Amino acid sequence: MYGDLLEVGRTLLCLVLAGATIKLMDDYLDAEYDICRGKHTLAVKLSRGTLPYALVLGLLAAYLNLDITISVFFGSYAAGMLTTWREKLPTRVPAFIEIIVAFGLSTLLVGWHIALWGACLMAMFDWLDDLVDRMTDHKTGQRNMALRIGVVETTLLTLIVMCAAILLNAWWTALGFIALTMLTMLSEATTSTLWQALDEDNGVHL
Amino acid sequence: MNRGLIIGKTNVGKTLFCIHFARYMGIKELQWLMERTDGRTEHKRMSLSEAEATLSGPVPHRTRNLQSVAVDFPRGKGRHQLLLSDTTGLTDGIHPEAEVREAMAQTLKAMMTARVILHVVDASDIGKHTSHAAGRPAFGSTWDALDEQLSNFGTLQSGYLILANKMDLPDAKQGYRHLCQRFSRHRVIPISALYGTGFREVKQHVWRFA
Ligand SMILES: Nc1nc2c(ncn2[C@@H]2O[C@H](COP(=O)(O)OP(=O)(O)O)[C@@H](O)[C@H]2O)c(=O)[nH]1
Ligand SMILES: [Mg+2]
Repeated sequence: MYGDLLEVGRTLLCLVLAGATIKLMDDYLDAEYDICRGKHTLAVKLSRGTLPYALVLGLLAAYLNLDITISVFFGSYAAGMLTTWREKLPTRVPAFIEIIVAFGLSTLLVGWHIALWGACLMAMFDWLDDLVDRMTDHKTGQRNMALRIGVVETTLLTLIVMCAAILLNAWWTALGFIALTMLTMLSEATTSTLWQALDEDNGVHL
Repeated sequence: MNRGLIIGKTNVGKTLFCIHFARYMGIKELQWLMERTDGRTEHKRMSLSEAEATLSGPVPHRTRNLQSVAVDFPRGKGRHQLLLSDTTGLTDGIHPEAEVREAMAQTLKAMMTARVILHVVDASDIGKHTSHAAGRPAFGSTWDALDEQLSNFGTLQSGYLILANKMDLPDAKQGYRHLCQRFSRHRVIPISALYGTGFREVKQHVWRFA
């Protein structure tokens, strides 16, 4: 019993750390845009320091549970590029090649079962976000699955990957939700908004 | 490459905005892509000051084709370019010169495919002509059928913005207020193409459409 609880805590901490790594990386890539709109995320505040801190967090996550860290990181890497799969990346290959490589690597390293779980979990979080943010994203021109293929379609896809994630590993999926909540709170606590951007009132405009 | 089209009537400051915004986005030397109305394209390099002196000015219809500069926006792991296109000023009615007419047709055609449309209006001119009207804002002759049609077309698209230009001039505040009453505040950004005020907001709005 006590050992189980320890394992749960360890898994949750791993998920939080891996998630924080991913979030920091994403925010780092968005830093210039966020500065322009007056949103000072942690990555903006850490500026160049983001890279070493993110690496440290990633390493700690990997120490706690290597399989989860790998599957979640590559899952997010692949899922994040789905709406732009045709685009050419700095590596000069189109995004879908990187998606395949990322998922392939994950499968090779942790087996298809865990790799698929990570991909489903991260895709679900991405699309949930897209569903919630579709109004603002429409106004700001942000890439968004719900705007691209439709709200109903995205909802269905989200439910499908959610079911898949639960079937593949219900416990980890539940802990994933808890980790997401904690990360959202952390990110809000560490972000300072210098001014309210015009396009960000969340009133419904349709 | 996605296109950001700068449209509006003559002399509202489209060309000046294009040049100064390119400078604001970090461009040191302009590499114009000139798309002529007959379909041919040519490249032209010029310094910012040279462009300002030769391309922008009080004489209407100095701009007679699509002239574009590519501006960079970081996005994800890479960067996206937006082709910022300055256009021929539109006028109501049928312009006597065939060349100008063709250029206007070219502008309208480009509107169909542009991701971003920046509709530049002269806020000080609008303010001047509406400042005496009591009560509800009544746009004077400066906001005519043409601007009306452009905004009707534009408000259907998410990448459409009205740039209330010449905010450095008197009466412009009044004009800007009128525009805000008329359109949602999100759509109207007060700028001065001459001094570069309001460019940050424009950059922010345009960014994700690149
Ligand atoms: N005071 C002031 N004058 C401006 C501003 N923007 C443009 N102008 C002037 O308006 C005139 C027309 O500018 P131009 O860029 O050629 O307009 P276009 O015909 O729309 O391309 C020029 O004399 C500019 O100097 C501004 O923000 N403030
Ligand atoms: Mg011009």
